[in-house]
Amino acid sequence: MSVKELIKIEKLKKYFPVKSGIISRVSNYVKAVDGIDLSIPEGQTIGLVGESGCGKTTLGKTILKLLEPTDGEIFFENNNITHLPASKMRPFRREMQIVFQDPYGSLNPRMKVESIVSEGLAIHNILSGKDRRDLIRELMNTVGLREDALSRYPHEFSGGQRQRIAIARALALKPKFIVCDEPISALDVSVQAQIINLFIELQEKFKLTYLFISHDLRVVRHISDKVAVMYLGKIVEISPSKELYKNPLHPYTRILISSVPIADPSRKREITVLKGDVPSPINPPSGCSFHPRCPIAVEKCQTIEPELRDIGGEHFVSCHLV
Amino acid sequence: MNNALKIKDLRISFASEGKRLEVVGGVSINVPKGKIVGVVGESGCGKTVTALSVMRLIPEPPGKIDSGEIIFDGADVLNYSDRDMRSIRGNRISMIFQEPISSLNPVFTVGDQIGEALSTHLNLSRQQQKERVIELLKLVGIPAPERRMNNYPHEMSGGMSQRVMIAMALACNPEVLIADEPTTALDVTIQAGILELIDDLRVKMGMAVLLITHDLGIIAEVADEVYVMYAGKVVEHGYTSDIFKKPHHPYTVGLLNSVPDLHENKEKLNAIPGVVPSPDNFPDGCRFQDRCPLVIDKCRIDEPLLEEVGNNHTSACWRRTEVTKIEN
Repeated sequence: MSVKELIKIEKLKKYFPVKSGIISRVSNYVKAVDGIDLSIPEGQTIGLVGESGCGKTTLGKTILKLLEPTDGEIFFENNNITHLPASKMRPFRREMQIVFQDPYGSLNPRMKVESIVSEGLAIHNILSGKDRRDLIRELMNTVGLREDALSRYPHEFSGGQRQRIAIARALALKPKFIVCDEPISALDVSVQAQIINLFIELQEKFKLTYLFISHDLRVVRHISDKVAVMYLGKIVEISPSKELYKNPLHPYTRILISSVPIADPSRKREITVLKGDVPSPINPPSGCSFHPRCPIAVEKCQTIEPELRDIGGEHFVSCHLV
Repeated sequence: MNNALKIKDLRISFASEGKRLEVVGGVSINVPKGKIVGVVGESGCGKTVTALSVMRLIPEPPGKIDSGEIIFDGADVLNYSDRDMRSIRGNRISMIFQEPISSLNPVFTVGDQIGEALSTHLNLSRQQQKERVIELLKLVGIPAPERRMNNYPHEMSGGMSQRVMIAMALACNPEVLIADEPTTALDVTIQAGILELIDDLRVKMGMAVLLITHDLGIIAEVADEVYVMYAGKVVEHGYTSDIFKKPHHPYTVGLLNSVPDLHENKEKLNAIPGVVPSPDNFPDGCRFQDRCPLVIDKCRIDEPLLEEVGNNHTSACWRRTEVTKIEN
């Protein structure tokens, strides 16, 4: 492979214990991320889609080691960072940043924008005095904010502007990898497009690598090189994004794509409405975890779990019937 | 006479720091019987406040309906006494809200909450009421309704809770249903089901629906007519197919262009620059002027009014005849 892998995860698992009874014994586990293999090539964007509760955010946070993985390995530029202690993890933290969904909750209301954006620089002791201020001014221009924003507080900004501040904070340490966790869902439609364009521009300018988590399939298609579809803690299909939307193979992916409303009244789509809700990740169904909701499930699906198979052209799918 | 609901030149303002800010500035919307009318716009455009005013749910003070009429069944809702209004609200006009989980009372079972709507407006025996609750839950597609009616809201998922909200809104067979972003908090897979349900019920029960959303995709799917709102005003109105085929307001064009397509490739999204002006800072003339690619001097002085551009199609733009889809 000519493209360098920036992030590679192998059989990654993240289980959350469920406690019950008066002595809070661990009675079960929520399998939020259940054995995922994924590699993210440098300079590319992997889109991650799925319904709420499927483990998208947990996967993003576990890759950054904001959550301690239960099992499996995480590699950053071929360094195994899975079991690094906090002190050794530090230099890697600079390289990996995150932009959260809610720009209202993710900025400290008591800090001025300057302190918010420069906090990472202060923690890692990078630059000081005038140099640091210059860098931050430059960052403001990069994300499309005026320099006088620095002396103001987060509540003085609109949602889109706050998200620009959050992006400036993520960029301050010149990271290589950014997890974008639903970064535009809280924004207005016309502002969403501005922020998506900003992400794309920044990627070109700084050779960034993104894991772009979103439930909006239209946006994911637009921004991603490859798209992974998650269901109950597992990746059920992954493929280059154009191929995935043109030729979705997993029944779940097909339903997801057909559920997206199309802004064109003359194009009537075939809607397949998905039966029921996402099952509990505490006791996922046997066999293929999608079988209780699957329109084409056969007997085999109830007992045997399908593997993620390569069907050519970097397209992988886990379904017995493909 | 075929309008189930007619909003005429509605103006609503809110008190803020000693000033009155007009958040809805002369909005007129007609909802014909048995049709779905969409209202689309960004946050702060006044769409939710307009909807709440129909239910007379604007908190007064600080809010105040300054002028206008809301005609329902031949009479102006705004002139009703609180008592008369209570007999209509939830009975003949009902509403579903964006956040199903926070709109339900956590300490009552969903059966009790649907029953409350029934016992307020209808004279039913306990047994009849129970049967009606089960019937309603079945209608909105909740499996095992006999068991589910005894559940508390926290025992249900977001999609299920929204179905309960819809069941509650439908309890008394309303003539008008106001749906304020009914699927925004839900997954796409659930969204499709809820939209289909609303459309189904409209056909079955002949309801008129006022559907408020920010998603043009949803409008394209289910609405017969659309009102596009911007900064407290309707800037364009027409049949859904006309609006999508031949929009006549630069803001509508901007909205259409800023949504990425599921099947076509665009190099870069045509974002609308800037942000929505806040009500204490509306410019003179057209409120879209600072974000508009077609702005001319006139836009900064005179306010454009809604003018006819086609059959039942109006646009409030000085350059309405020059607007085309490609131009943005």
